[in-house]
Order: sequence, then C-alpha cells, then structure tokens
Amino acid sequence: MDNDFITLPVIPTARTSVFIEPSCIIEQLRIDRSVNCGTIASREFERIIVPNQASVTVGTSLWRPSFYLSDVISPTLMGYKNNTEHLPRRGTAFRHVEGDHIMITRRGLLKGSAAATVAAGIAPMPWLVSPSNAMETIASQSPIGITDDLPNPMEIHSVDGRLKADFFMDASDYSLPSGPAKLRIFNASIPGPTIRMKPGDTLELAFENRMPPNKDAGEDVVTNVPNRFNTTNVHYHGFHVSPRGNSDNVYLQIEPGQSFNYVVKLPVDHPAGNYWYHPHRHGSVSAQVASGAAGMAIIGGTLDEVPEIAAALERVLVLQAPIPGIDGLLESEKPIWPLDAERDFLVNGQYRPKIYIRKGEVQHWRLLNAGDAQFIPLRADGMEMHLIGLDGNPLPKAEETEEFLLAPGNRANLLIKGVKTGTYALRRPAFMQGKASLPEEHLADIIVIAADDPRVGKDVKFGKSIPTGDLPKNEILTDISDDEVTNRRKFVLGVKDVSGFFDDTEFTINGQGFDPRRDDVVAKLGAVEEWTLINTTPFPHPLHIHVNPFQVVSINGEPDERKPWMDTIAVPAAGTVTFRTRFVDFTGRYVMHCHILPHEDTGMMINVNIEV
Amino acid sequence: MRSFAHTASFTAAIMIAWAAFSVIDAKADDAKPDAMPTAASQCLSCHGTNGNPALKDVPILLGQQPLYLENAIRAYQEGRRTGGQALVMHEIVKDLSDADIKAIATWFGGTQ
Repeated sequence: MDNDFITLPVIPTARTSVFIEPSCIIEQLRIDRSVNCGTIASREFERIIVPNQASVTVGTSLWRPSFYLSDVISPTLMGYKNNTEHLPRRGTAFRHVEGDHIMITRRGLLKGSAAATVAAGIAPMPWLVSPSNAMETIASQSPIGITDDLPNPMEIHSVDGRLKADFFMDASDYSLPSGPAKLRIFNASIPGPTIRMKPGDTLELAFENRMPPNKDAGEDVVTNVPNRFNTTNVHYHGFHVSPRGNSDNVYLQIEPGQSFNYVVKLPVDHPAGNYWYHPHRHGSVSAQVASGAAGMAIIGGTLDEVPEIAAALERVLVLQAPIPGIDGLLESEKPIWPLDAERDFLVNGQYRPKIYIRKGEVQHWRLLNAGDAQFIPLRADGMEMHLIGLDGNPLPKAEETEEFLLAPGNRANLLIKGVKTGTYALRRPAFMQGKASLPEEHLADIIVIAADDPRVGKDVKFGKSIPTGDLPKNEILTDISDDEVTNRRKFVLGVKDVSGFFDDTEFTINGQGFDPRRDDVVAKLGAVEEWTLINTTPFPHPLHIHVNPFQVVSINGEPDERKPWMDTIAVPAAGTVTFRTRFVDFTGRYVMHCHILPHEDTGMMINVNIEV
Repeated sequence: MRSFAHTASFTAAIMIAWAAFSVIDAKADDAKPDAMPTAASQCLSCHGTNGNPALKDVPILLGQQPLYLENAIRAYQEGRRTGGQALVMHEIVKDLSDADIKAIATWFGGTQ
C-alpha cells in the first residue's frame, strides 16, 4: 500500500459515502472499487477544498450510480433531496464511512484535524488570506489618464498560472441616479473586479455570502417561482470548464453566512476573449444580477496579438441597469419583471460618464451587457465603429458598423475611432424588444479631443489603425461541418399560465418549466449536435448554454456566413436560431436558459447531462 | 426630486408593462368575443388584435382570403412550409383539428 495514503477499510456495499468535516483540504483522494481482493476500478481526485461552514458529502450512489466523489459538495445541491440528509456535521475529520475503500492522504487528515478546530471558530481560515504571489491587482483607473475620464473597473490578474482571490456578495450601499440604494453586489462594487487570466490558469475564488438571512427562509421553495434572494452562487459565463463540484457548478446553493471555495481550471487551449461572472442560483438570479452583481472576465490571447489591436488603448465597459428595492433591499420580483421598466443605465457603475478619445485614435473596447433583461442596440453616431469579436470570439474580419446588438449576456470587441473633435453620444436608440417598446438611453458622452491634448501622457498608447486582413481564430473553435453532426434536436421556447406562480406565469422549453431533477438532454462526451431553437412568443429570448460555446448556423433560416462562435444568442420573437456545438472535455450536468433572467427564474431553463 | 419622479414613473411603467407583458395577452375579450373561435386566441399575441401585428416580420391575417389562410395553416401543419419562422408556425398549429383550422381561417378572413 502506498505510504502516502491511509486506507480506511470498509464494508463493501453499493453505497459509498464519507463525511469530511469543515475546512479540510484534501490534496488527493482515491477510491478503489473492490470485489473480493481485486480492484476493478480506481478514481483519483486532486485538491478538494472543503467549504469552511459545511461538510462535504462524497459518494458514489447518492443520486446516480456514476456520481464521482467530487460531485457532491455541501452546501446543498439544488433539487437532490438525498443530499440534504448529509448536511453539516462536526467532530473528527471523517465521521462515517461505509461502502468501498476510501484512501485519503495523511496530509489531508492532518489538515482535517486542524480544521475541526477552525470550524469551532478558534482559528482563521487559511485560504481566505490570498498569498501575494497568486494575484496582481490593478486599481480602477482611467486608461487615458484624464481626471474625469471613465475608469476601467479594478482588475485582478493571475500570476504564475494562479488567480487566488477573495470575493463576497453583500447587501452594499450604492448611490444610484435615483438615490441611495442597497444592492446585492460583489465586493461592494459595480461592476465587480475584472478577472484577467490566461488559458491554462486556475482561478481559486474564496467566496463568502455575507447577505442577511432570507426573509422567506421559513417558506417552502416552489421551483420556478422567484425565491430566497439572499441565497447565491457564482457562474463563470462562457468559460469552457468543468460544471462539476467546486468548478462552474450552478446547482450549488450558498446560503447567507456560508462560504465556498471555487477552483476553476481553464484548459490550456481555452479560447481567449471576453467572459464574465455573475450569480446563478435558480430563483434569485434575476434579483441579484438586476442589483448589479456581475463582473468582466478576460482570458488573454488571440485578438490581443493582432498588432493594430495590441497598439490600441483598451477599455472595459460593463453596461448595467441596477434596480433597487422600493424601500431598501429588493425583496420582490415585481420591479424587475416588466421588460420596459424604466432603468438608469450605468457604465462601469457610473451614470452617463465621459469617455475620452483622441482625434484619429482607435481604442479597443470590451463591452458587456450585464443587465438582467433589456437588450442594448448600441450606437455612437459620429464615431467610426468596427466590430472585431462577439462573445469574445473573433469575427472573420473587422466589420464597420453603425449599430450592433448586445442582448443580456452578450459581449463584443469593438474598435472605435475618433474622427472629429467634439462630443458624441454613446446611446441605445429607442427600439422594440419584441412587442415591448423601450426608450432611448443616453449611456455616455464620448469626447473626441485633439491628438496632442496635453492632458494625455506621451507614454499612453495611441492606436491608429484598423486591421484589414483576416482576424486570427481561437484555434480550438474550428467550423463544424454537416458530416460532423451526430444528432439534431429542437427546443420550443414558450410560456404558459400557472395559477399561483409569479404573475401566474411559467416560461417553458419544450412545454415544460425547469426541473432540477430532470435531465432534458443526455448526450455522450464527444457528441456534436445541431440544435434549433423555436420561439413561439412575441418577445426575443437570448439563450445561453454553459460550458460549451456554439457556432451559429442560421437565424430565421437565413445562414450567418460569418459562422460566429457565441455562447448567448437572441432567438427573435416568433423566430428561430440554429446552432451547432461540440460536447468536449467535460462530463456533468449544466444548463441552457434564457438570459432574460426573470424568464430563467420562472422556468425557461433545461438541464444538459453529458456522460462518458 | 429625481428619486420621487423616478419612483412615480417607474410605478406607472410597471402597471403599463404588466398589461403589455401579460403572458397570454391574447385573451378572448381582447378581440371579438362573440365571434372569435377559441383556437384563434393563440394567434393574437403575434398577429395582433387589430390587424396590425406588433412584430414587423409577422403577416397581417385580418381580411385575408379564408381559403388562403386554411391552405397556409395546413402547409405549416404538414411541414410543406418549413425552415426559419415556418418552424414557429408548425409548433403553433400542429395540434389544430380540421374544424379549428376552418374556424380560424373563416374568422380572420371574415374580419375586416
């Protein structure tokens, strides 16, 4: 037997479970499935970090035979009642073992022993203190160096392959144009810090839910009725990472007062581009994102290496329209629900900020619509605009445009050029979002200053060119041909009356509202599928699928010759979208849903289960 | 001041939008309750109650020839019109009976 392991002999049964006490870090865990004296299967896991206020339950048969050890992690996983019976226990590191052999490193046990003390509140949680070599912080600042210029959000960068940071969500005070407000936001800022990493890096996020107890904690949760606005989790939107365990697992429910340690490992060939993070706990997503809980995430490479883009000054622009409670913290879905509710749009947390650009200058803007419901067709009349990427992925070539659409969840890479000195409006024109009429919104003033304006330092980047040739591709995202498609499916987006639900409404996919216990799509790892989304409602629905991006084939039957790779696309009102996607690298369950988040919270979401 | 104005207009917006956003805004009493067949109610949210669809790329049904409408619905139902937005119509009409189709076609075609 390997000396690095302690073997816990147990009675072989169909069930294997072990309780690991709070604050335990297991460097390696191995399960051997044994029959008589022979080992027939072995699994090893690296680095499992246990939440500091809840034990972990690991097992192989809690709700499906193929479940892995790292799959079941307290706090509760939504929808699986079997898991709730194993909730927090205290005492020694391992309280109960039955089933197959469980082997845990001595180091893990030592950590576990210490952790029992931690759980009693005697010692601090060591991983909540970020070592200085695992993160670099860039303060929020104007990229052009002018006092009243719009600052980029604060950034945190990975160092030597790791980004280790402390995040929290709290009900924080924030001054909105409508007055003082209390908002559920990350790290007391709107937007949250920009995460900047490289392919192959690992994000270690020590997340803490500091929000107050839920006012409806004593009531039963009804799936697809908004509830428990202070229960949360974190989703890494667009990341191609594992949906399991403490990675991009949106089934987690982190209750007020609980902490959770995320470890999100990017593959070495992860597509570069603009991504973002936001809460994703079904029932409270819209309330929290509508509060402003969101931030940009940038994975470097590809477009960054185009000389004209590398030469350009870069801005991160996060567009949000936070909505406060009528009297304090938002406790009702009502203010969020109407698509055409009056909203004050913020750019990087500021109302109608000033954005400076020099005459003749080309700037690279990374734009994110982090709103909860309203689309943003974006214009900047008088400026020259060239789209170079959608949802972070490069377009084939730079496309000059007067207006482009950012549905909730969409990102865009834009090259924007100041042509003539003066002040220009960055604005959303009045438009129809399906049958809803939305007013014009003045988002920011773009001020084109002289090329030699003395307020700008000589060392500030001064890009002047738009790339004219083919833009580089994210290499892993190759075109999906007809021959590669292994299956085709259709999904009908709809809505129905359900008495007693919020506004007596349930949004549906294929006639059913979301059910966390139901697998709507089961596919094998390696499958390549073509999905057609059919919208039977008079409102567009931006559909987002987790983990694997998709290549757009057509919209309303019209082929998109650019074949863009995206992760969120607006299905037109009474219209269709067809896309293709590859299920690669990661098994596990994740979701596809409408990114008009009140629709998601009220049912427009399905489970996708990718199996070995 | 702004706060008050914001709140007041916001509340109004909610009330207006609530009606506009009503899930099945194709209630029978929105149109012609004495004549409209029940199966036609599902058409109204996109095709409109007054002959002017709110969606730009949705055709006007009111006043069309009943036979044309009947043939079109059957084409959607049987998959002879397919792809793009025809897929939407297929989903909407796939379970209609012959009687429903005739009733819808007659009602829309007979309404000016």
